[in-house]
Amino acid sequence: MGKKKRGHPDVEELLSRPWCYYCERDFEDLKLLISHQKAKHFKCDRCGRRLNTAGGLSVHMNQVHKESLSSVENALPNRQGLEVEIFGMEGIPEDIVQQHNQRIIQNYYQAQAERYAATGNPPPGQNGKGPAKKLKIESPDDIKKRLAEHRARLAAQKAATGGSATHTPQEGLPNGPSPVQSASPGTFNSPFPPPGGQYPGYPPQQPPPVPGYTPPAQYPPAYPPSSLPTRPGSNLPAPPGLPPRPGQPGWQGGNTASTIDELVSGAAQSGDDIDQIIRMAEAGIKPKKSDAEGEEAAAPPPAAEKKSKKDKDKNVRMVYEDELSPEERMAMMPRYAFHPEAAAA
Amino acid sequence: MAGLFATNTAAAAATSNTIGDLKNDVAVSNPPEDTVSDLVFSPTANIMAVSSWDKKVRIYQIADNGSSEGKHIYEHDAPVLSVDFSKDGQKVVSAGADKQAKVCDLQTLQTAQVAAHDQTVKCARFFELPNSNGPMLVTGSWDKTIKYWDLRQSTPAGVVTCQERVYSMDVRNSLLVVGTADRYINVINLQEPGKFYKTLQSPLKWQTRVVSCFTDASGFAIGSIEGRCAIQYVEDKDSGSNFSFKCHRDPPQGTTTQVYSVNDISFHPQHGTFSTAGSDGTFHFWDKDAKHRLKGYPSVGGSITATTFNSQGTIFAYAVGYDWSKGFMANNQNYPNKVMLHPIQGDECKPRPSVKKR
Repeated sequence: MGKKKRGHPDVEELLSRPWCYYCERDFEDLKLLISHQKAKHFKCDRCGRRLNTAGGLSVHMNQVHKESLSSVENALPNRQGLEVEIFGMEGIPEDIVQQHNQRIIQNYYQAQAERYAATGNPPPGQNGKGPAKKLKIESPDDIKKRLAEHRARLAAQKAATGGSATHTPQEGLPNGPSPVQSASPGTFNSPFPPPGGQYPGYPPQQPPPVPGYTPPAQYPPAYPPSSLPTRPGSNLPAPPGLPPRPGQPGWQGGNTASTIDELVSGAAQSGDDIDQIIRMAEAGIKPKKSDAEGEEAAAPPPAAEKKSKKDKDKNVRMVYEDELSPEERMAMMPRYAFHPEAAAA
Repeated sequence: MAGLFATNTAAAAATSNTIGDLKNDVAVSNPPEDTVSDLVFSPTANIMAVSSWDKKVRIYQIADNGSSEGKHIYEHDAPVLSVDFSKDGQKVVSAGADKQAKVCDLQTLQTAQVAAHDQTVKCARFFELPNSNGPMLVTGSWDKTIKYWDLRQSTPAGVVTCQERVYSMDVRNSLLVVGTADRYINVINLQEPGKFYKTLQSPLKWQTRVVSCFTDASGFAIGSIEGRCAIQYVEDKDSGSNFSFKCHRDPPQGTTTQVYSVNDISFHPQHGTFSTAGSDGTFHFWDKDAKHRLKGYPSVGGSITATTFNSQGTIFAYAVGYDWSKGFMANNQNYPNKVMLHPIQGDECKPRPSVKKR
């Protein structure tokens, strides 16, 4: 094979180029791809830090900025998910690789067809005058004539060498292809290259590249990112698996018996409360709860306040009363009551 | 700012952390005897007015080192629920359960009644219109009205009837926002004070606790009793920027989350960032544009009922006191009742620098 003088790359060259899972761009080499991914897809928009992977960025956002990363930036709509861990060419799911290669090949043959159409050159092995190495096909008369000549030559040799009986003609070979070779002309006369023979790396499921035939645009495939298999062996934990952030100091966790008194307020006081509960428990008194309930029964309206506001995000049940604001409640208390007569006096 | 509260060398190191510390906070001396209902700084000096349920309004002078000195005290006939300074820093208005508002002139220390309602006056705010002469007053009451007063006449200059009792009000430039019971939010353009520029239902599902205008008056923040804040822009074109976020809640314990009321929201006068403070006894600084919490602080030991920044944005004052969020039985002798001054140091209130995308 001679030196390639073409200005466009081979399909093998195209297929071997590293490409970005998130935006399908391809690059000269892996280093460029990785720096592209760091700048375009794995850069923190808060501080500009460039991380190596989407998982790394997620952890960074979580820990440094207390935010959660939901999607990869600048990614194709179906490639924004964080569940695939991509670094350079690593981690791209197999089916995506297949689709990418198929797309590259389609694009290649489409571009090739367009080139042929633009330059007017025929595809290799398909020029206008038919096959380049068209075999000379002899008519039966010619063959008979040559046979006669051959025999005449043999007879002359026999006469010259004194009757040697060799049937292998010394000079017979340069005379062109034998009739046996020319007996299968179809093999060489086909205007199409033999399937699979000419393009290594060409997937068999691909339809043959007929000039002028445009492959249907199959790309981009629309399948949900959630169906992508998670890459095993990833050493970064999935974002939801992160441990919950530690709570605020001063929050008293385990007060399950949440009477009003126990809920009272600050961390300073709750220590005392617990001491008191322990002391009362030692004394065999069922404390507080009954006390508090008694008080609640005695003074119904204020006790029905919004003190233990409980909610679950979906299934909200707030224990409170929307009718009055805390200030209105407070203003109702005798100690804050306003008596114009008394004030005037 | 340097030298404020004397000890701010160590704080610079802590600024990269999201948990702030309270060790430099100073208590105001001679605090009110009962829960503080409202706090406000003078726009012109480090003078703070504090209204309290003990029926009194106190005026403190705050020195650069954080020490405080009582300057003046005057009394209402009932708990005082709101206090505000006039723009020139010369007058203080206070209003409360005695169904009236009083103005105290800080030059003469004379106090006069300037407004009256049929019910407790929950909020009173000064406002000044560009073409008017002198400050006007707007008061909101549980009698479901807001009234405008020009401080010279005993009859209101205007009355607007609201859907429900007024729970919170805030004024910035010509933007007046009124939050009422039943989650109504009314926006009034003070150029046309007689009508609602806009009425909306609060984006939050629960009782409105506080409304607070942005420093640029383009919108306002709403705090609800359910540990949630909403950022709301006035104009519809900005409505895409509206959002709400959770705050002032404990980490979930199984299926239960303790949520606390957001009692006050204060905007930083220079940076436009804001604070939220709640019944959980914590306060936080937020950047609404970056949708980011700048700083959180540990519990201060009791509900925070009111907050404010001074005019330079160097002091954040917060009042700790009993706020009824846990019923009357939670109120006892030991419940903290104080006003604290938190020096703003370093970047703790600065908005996050926007990172340019390359």
